[in-house]
Amino acid sequence: MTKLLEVHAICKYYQQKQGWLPGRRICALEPISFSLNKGETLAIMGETGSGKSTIAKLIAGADVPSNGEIWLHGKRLDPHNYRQRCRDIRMIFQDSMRSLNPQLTIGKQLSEALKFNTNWNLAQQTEHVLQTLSKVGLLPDHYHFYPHMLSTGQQQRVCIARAIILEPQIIVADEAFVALDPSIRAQIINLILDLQEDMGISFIFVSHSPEIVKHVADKILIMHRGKMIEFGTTEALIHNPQHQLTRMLLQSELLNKALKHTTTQE
Amino acid sequence: MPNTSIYYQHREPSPLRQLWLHITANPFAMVAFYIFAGIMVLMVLSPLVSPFSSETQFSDHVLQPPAWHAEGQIRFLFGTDDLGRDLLSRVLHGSVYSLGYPLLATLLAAVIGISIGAWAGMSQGVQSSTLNHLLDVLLSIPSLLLALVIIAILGPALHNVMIAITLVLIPQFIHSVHNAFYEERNKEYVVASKLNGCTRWYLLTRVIFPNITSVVVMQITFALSTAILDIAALGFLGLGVQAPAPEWGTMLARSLDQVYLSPWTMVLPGLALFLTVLSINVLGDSVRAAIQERIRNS
Repeated sequence: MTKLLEVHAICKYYQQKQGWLPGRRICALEPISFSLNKGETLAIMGETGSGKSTIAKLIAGADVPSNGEIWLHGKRLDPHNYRQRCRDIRMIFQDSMRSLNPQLTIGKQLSEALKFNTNWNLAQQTEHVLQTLSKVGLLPDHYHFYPHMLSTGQQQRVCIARAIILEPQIIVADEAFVALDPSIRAQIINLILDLQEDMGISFIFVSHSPEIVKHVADKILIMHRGKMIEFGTTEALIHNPQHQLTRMLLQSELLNKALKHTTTQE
Repeated sequence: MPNTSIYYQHREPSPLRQLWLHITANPFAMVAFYIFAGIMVLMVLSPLVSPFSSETQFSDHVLQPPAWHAEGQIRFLFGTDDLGRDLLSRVLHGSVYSLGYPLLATLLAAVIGISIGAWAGMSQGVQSSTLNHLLDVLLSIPSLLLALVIIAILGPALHNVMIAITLVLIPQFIHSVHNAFYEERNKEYVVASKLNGCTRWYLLTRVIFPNITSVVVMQITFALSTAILDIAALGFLGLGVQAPAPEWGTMLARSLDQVYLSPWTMVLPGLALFLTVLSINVLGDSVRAAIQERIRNS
């Protein structure tokens, strides 16, 4: 059986230009390969600037890899063909406010994807948008709202609605839960887990929080300075981490808790 | 959404409406807006509302003072000039030359400048730079001077002035639109739309352009006031609109020798010019202030 998503040696370099001279080459991501099965959840963890977001962007197509290929269902994805990609892979951005167009209503933004990827008429589009809104726990009224009228949690829901509206197979979330407070974060994670169950979506997410990762992920990928240092199932990485960094990232929460505990006692 | 609810409903305004609310909250901006709107209406209706044609001469009413003067007549509200032409009619007819033509030049420059600027903003590298700096040479010469050069070559006439002023205004539009596009292009919502599989044309017109309309509106108001002043200045120098036509700058120049004898022939067209330019500038300034206010609040 072919894997759902196969990533072959993708890498990303940036050219830092200084005037007319060809500038220094900065490596954001060294060649990296991994694969993902249907319905699996992959968590990408690492320090700031370790290339986590770069992987997310490359898979979602927001950025073009310098080298390497991404295969979906045994078919190669063209990095410039957004239309081919967006039917199967969708992205949730880190900052929900900035990823919504301030001048368009929520409904118009959501039907944008349908307009370009389906041949439905306007009524069908509206119907589907309303259905999707209710799926993520928003009201039909929100169809006519502008992004600035919504709270951060609601904006995040709109972003999730935008990601699932085309019924993709993979959703990529780039630190999508950082800006939310714990209760809403829990709500939204549960929402995503429900959707995953209903629609069989594979989910790739970048996160700092070991709690969420342990709760949600099937596989974990640990990044350090643009390199993948560990990749395995959550079980294996928690019980038998090979690297010091893995242990620190996955157990930092425990350490924090222990620390808090002692300070409150004193 | 049809507002069918009979209950109290808190509705937040759309972003453009917010901008409008900011402007209406500023009394100076509103005064300027009403003055400008009034002048525009008078310009459009000038053939209907002006009591006489701009060239009818009343030989027995030469240099009649305005109506509020002791020797004035209500028949000639603004008085008459040295050839006995009704000044009110001339000022009204003149608005077509002094406001209508600059408006036309500005709109023409806006259409050309915005298209080139948007093209430059959507493209990358050398193509973008080339388009952006295409007409930069024109920016190095002051607009009035450039207009003088063009008129020196083509001869003094209204259409030459129009060509000169349109040419001068284009690079400013290109620059402001290009910069605005460049700023918006890499924002996340544009990337998100790109990932929706939108075409470039949709991205340009529906996604990015609504977010830079405020910049465009501001640029248009500033371009308009420049165009009005330039056409009036060229008229004053006798290089633009030619004498019998009631252009405000030309009227100022004609009345210069009789300024002690009949000050109203100079003051009234000057006042019209002053009010027009002032209202446009205040309006443009408050649009800019409102945009900044909105950016600060968001």
